[in-house]
Amino acid sequence: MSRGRLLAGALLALLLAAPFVPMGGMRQYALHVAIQIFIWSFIGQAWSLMGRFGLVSLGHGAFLGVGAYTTTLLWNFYSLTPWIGAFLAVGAAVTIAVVLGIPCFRFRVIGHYFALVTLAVGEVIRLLIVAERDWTGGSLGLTLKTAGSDWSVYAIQFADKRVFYYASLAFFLAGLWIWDRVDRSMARSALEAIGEDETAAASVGIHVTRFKLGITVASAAAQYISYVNPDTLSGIGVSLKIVFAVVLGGMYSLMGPLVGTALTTALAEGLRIAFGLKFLGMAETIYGLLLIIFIIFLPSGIYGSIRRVRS
Amino acid sequence: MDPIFLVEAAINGILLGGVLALLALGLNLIFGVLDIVWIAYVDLVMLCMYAIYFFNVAFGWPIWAAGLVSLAAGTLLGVAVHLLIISPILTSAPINQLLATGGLLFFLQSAATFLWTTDHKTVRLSLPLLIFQYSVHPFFGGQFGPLTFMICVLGGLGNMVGAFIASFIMSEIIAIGGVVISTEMGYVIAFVIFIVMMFVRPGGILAKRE
Repeated sequence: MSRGRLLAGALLALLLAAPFVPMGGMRQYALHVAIQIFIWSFIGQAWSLMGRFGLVSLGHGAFLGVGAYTTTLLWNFYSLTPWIGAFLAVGAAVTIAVVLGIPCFRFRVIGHYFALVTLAVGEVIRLLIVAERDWTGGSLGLTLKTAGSDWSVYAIQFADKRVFYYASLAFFLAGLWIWDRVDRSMARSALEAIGEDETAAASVGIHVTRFKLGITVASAAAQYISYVNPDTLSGIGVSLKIVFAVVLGGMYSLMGPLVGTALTTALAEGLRIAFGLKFLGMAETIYGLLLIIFIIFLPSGIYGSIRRVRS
Repeated sequence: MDPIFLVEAAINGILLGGVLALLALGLNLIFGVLDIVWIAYVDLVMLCMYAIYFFNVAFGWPIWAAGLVSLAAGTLLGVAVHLLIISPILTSAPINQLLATGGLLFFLQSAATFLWTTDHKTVRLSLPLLIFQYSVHPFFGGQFGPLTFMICVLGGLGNMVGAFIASFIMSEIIAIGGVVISTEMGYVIAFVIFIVMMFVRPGGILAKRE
């Protein structure tokens, strides 16, 4: 067994044992931060799966919003268990991805155009949620109806955050595994060819459309299953937050999204604790500045650059 | 519904169309010359509007002087952004250019929130300039930025006439849709039309059919 594997194993054991370390009142907060990091890295992974192939989506918030609202509305209005709701949410997100994806790839909407179309889709979903305010609570949002007990498997509501900790960790690891598989499979060479030269790939006989569509659907669907209890929703702000964390960590490396998300979460939490709500907009100002600096000087991100220097 | 509301909406649409056409003109110029996606363009316009507001209302300068100063400030800012951000990434992938100017958008919007809070600020005068019609607030760029961008693409990148026509098409849909259904639905319809047009006429409304 290589040293890298040993290290990864030790790290995993540490993560699995972490929730049982006695931390007193700090435990719930620490777990909350950890869950946030796992969920957003998972979403970041899904995004970068497409971003790496030149398909920069500015509308991932749309899929997030559709998924989150489908589950929440079905639970709140029909008391439908999120176990089924999540499947329907994935169905809804995939439907949108396909309806959007087929013409996008058929008419070869790529580059700037792809980013703009996804941006428009994100705005459409956000505006629809606001417009349907009788159902969705408009821009004020919607609170999830409580199941009335501390431990409800049916409603997927648990007062103990450890359950969510393990669930989000599991999804995060599953995301890593999927990415690793995509990387290793034939799709890798094919997709990289697409990113660089459409026609070259097409001439080798690779079905460009099917591959791209598969990636879109996979990344859109994947993030929905993870989104069990929504408290952050659709819109361009969310989409940019995803993009930013991934670019910061490194778009082209396996652990990049995790590193980026951990850093942005730490930054946001740190600023919140240090200044409270006094400096509204401060965290985002720093985000924006860092994003520009990173694109110019470190386009492969923090983690990506460290790896490059080492190898 | 009383037809007078529709007429009023149509006139409002023309006014909005003029504003959008003005914004699209500037953005198109950058496209045509540099071929770079300046997604933070409208946020620079927002800063200039703040400049007019502060010089006119807070410092009591006459409006023409405030306008000139804001013009100069805008030019300087544009040059600074070009030298600091655009030049280093002129040769990198288009996606990186988009993300860098996206970072600028994020930065300007949040910095404005941080400095001047989310209050709307209006100059009380009735001259046909942007700030006299619309109050300025940190999310001005977020409100008009994506729309301006879509209008440029809809008209055909770098095509001034196309962008001009597209401005009025989009503004009429938004204005009339807003009165007939609801404000949000007006925008939804405009965005959906943009998406569909991207598939049908990717070269813009004036492009020849392939």
